[in-house]
Amino acid sequence: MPRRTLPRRRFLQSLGVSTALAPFIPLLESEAGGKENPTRFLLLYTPHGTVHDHWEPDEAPGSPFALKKILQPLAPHQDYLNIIGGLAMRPHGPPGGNHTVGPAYVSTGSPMLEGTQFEHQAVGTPHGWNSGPSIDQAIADHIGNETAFKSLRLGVQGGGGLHPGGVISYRGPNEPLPPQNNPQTVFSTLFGEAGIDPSDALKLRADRLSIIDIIKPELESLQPKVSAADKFKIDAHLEGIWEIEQRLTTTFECSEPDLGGVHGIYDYDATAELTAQQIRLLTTAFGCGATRVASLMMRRGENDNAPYPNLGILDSHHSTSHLQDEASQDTLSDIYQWYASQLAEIVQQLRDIPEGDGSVFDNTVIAWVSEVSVGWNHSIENMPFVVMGGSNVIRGNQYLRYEGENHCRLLTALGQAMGLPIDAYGGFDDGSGPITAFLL
Amino acid sequence: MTMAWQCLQNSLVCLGGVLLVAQGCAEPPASGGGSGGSSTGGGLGSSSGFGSESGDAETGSTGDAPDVSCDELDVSSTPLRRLTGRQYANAVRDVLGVSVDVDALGADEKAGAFDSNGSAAVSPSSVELYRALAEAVASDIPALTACDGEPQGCWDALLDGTGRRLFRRPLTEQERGRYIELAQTGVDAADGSRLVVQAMLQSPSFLYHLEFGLPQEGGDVIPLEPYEVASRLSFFLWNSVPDDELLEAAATGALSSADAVEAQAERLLLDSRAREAIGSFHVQWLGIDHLEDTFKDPGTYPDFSVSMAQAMVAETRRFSELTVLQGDARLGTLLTASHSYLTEPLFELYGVTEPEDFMPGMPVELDPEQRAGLITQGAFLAEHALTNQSGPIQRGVEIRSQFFCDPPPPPPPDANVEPPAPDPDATTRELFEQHTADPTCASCHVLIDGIGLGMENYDGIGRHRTMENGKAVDASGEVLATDIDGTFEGGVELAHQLAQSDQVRECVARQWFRFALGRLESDQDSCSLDTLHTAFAESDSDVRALLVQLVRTDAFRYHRP
Repeated sequence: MPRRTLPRRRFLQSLGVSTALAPFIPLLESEAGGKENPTRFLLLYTPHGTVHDHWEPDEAPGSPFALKKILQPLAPHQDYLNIIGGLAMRPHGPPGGNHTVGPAYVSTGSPMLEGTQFEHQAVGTPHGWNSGPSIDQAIADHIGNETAFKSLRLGVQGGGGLHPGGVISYRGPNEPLPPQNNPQTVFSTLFGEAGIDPSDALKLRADRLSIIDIIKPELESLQPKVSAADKFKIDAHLEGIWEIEQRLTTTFECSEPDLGGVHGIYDYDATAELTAQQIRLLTTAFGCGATRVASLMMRRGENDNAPYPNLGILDSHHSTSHLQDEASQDTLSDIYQWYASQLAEIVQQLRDIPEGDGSVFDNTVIAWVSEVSVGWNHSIENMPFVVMGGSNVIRGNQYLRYEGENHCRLLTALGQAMGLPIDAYGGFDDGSGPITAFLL
Repeated sequence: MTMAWQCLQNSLVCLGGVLLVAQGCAEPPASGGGSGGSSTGGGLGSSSGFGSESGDAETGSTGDAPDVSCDELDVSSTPLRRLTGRQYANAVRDVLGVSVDVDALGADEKAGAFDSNGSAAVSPSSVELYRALAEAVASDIPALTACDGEPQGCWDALLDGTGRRLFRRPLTEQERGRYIELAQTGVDAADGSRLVVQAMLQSPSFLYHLEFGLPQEGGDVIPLEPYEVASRLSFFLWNSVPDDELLEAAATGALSSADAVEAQAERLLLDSRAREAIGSFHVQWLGIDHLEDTFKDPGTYPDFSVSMAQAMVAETRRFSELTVLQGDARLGTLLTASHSYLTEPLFELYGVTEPEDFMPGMPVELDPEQRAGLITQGAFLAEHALTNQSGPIQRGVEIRSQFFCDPPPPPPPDANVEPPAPDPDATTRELFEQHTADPTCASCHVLIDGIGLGMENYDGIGRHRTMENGKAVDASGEVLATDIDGTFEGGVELAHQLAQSDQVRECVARQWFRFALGRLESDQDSCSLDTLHTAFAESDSDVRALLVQLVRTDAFRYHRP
């Protein structure tokens, strides 16, 4: 049989699921399921913590404060900004290297599972995946069921294999949701059917439903045959099929953003461009109601030896993060400041999309987290958290400190801000309830 | 016990020391009895106690008598595994003739060093990708879906041919009914066929390694069903689906004895598809599968590039494939050969001139004082190094973990694990020796650094060196707490010592076991592992013989539901 390569272009075109049948409608106003004030949630991750001297305000907590170097790019949005210092992760369960387990700890507030899968990393004793759902997925369960995409998980250059160090979103125990690092794939997923003739699109949809009618009973018939330990894998697959079905029966209209050029996803000279593309896709999806929940994982802490040529930094971020001298700390501050500028860009784009009397951002909460507090000692005390959000959902312009308190309090508060009926969150929760300072 | 004592003497690393003991790496070498390895793979386990036989399994059995090659039948359970990206791509290529971009399928999990999707559930994005890929592939096979005659006849043929290959077994009557029904919703026969292929590529029967075994009264361990054995064989040796001949063997009951399985393994190894599996084993074992995404400081290593990284990995892949499949297949050759298979950017790196009549694929003789097999090849040396200097610790950890199956304990959580910055006035050895001179670190680092510092005659991209920063390189090393303890000088001597080690030989067998089964071993596999170790030793460490023996083991042919 002759071997042929699938044309790349066609492959990308066909990677579609949305029912975006009117691709060129200009994006005038958001349209999120016809709801008034549909809330959105974004979990943003960047690695290696921060440089606290350049991050945390000098003023006393609760007082008016001036932004320091790292958070300076967020100045235009300070009214919507909460700087939250002092919280600590209080893990139990199998210990691991904090770059490996931190991304899960911070988003799930839950321990790693016992296991042997991750035994060969340089740091850490053997353990499995995480045991909990991450806060973004708990929120997606609550507000994501009416949109075409229950959630989006995006990443930038977080490669190196499927590994806890590269995952912040979990549906549940042993159910990591790795980020999609390729903006082209995200684009195709969101806009793949753009340009398809409407009658062809109808057939496509009918075909997909017919196929689901075969696949679903096949999966269900496996349920009694597989071992007890494997049943969750079948459930998860059925859940994935259900999400495809959800998209086939949900409409949204999105205008395709112009992403600019195509870049290799590990081209470190294109970090800024890849990040900009993922951000554009994310804000577009929020704006047009394709989804209401997303996570964005920028790079990873685990085995990260990537440079930041866009900032003139050619040393590995990870190596630099271990150095304590002033020059290295300045270099790190430059990187973290750049992260903050990306968050500012997200906020600005969401503020630019009108919704109701205001903007999409008015109904959005963004939590910016990292897997450790300080790069050089991998501490998980005094975690650097930033929570931003519009005036319809949370308060802002606050510098808060919760000395040594459990970071599950923050996860609980985020859940409450998004309407979850919870007063605790995660396996590490100690029952001390949410922090309430930014709740309305 | 040296190692355990050294570690235990220090409270800071005491935890690590205890861990080592718990993992069995400090066991006396001849404890006499199948203690096996722990499930973490930390210990080498029994190297003696070969009570069971490898070579006397029944011959010509019809399958009525169980093929038990150990005194007591025991195997560990295998988790439900999803195809790896490479397996998916190979299957689509072999059955449908379409090549898909492996990277599009996303990253795989690993079991030990090897790709295997056995612990996490599939993510919704992967289910989505399966759908998208299925549509793309199914619309790209016009010759396969074309139909000249009656639609029903075309569809039957599709299910009997393509369908059977994709599912690795004939479809059940009920399945046939469902897929024909689906085909009937197409606008014509070809469209119906397209839909069938599209659905099959999303079916759990294609996407998972489904293994249920032959239903059998009583018994926690049951034989795999012949089609399941066929799949294990082909995914092990081809990393792809069985061909028609192998499926036919399953259909006719010709896979029910160990000898019959062995005969098929021999046949599969003669096929060119075996190259991909042999190459993949070595690439994953040596940890070089992501070398091309690795960043090297361009100031320190201006020659390093993605294309150089690709050439390095291609070299190791090709060297392994040819040694095992066309060469003498000896582990010793893999570990010590002074020839290799170079492409353009590597001649300069290895300091050899391209022969006048050079054609890609020709073996090139390297300086035997500088190069000896896998651990002295560019890929291994560049991967296990820092971005701006060599990597004594990375190299030491990797060799202990992957060649001795004795991963060192992790550093304590508050250890400063930052390597010293390069210094223009010092050698890497001087910097690292200072760094780990602290007694709290030294007690365990002596096990790692003794190996890694002995490879200081290669820089961070694998170039051989005798001088560094104006000083002579000291590449003296020492192996401790193994069966080949002693000093050595440079990577070549180390490689030759590894080739003499029983512990390394058994570790390599253990690695192949993990690769073949897509999971780590447990105590329940000790009998299978013992037969494997014996056979490998008796064959003078012939890797081909090891592979053939592996498919005979209980662990390969039986199932614990």
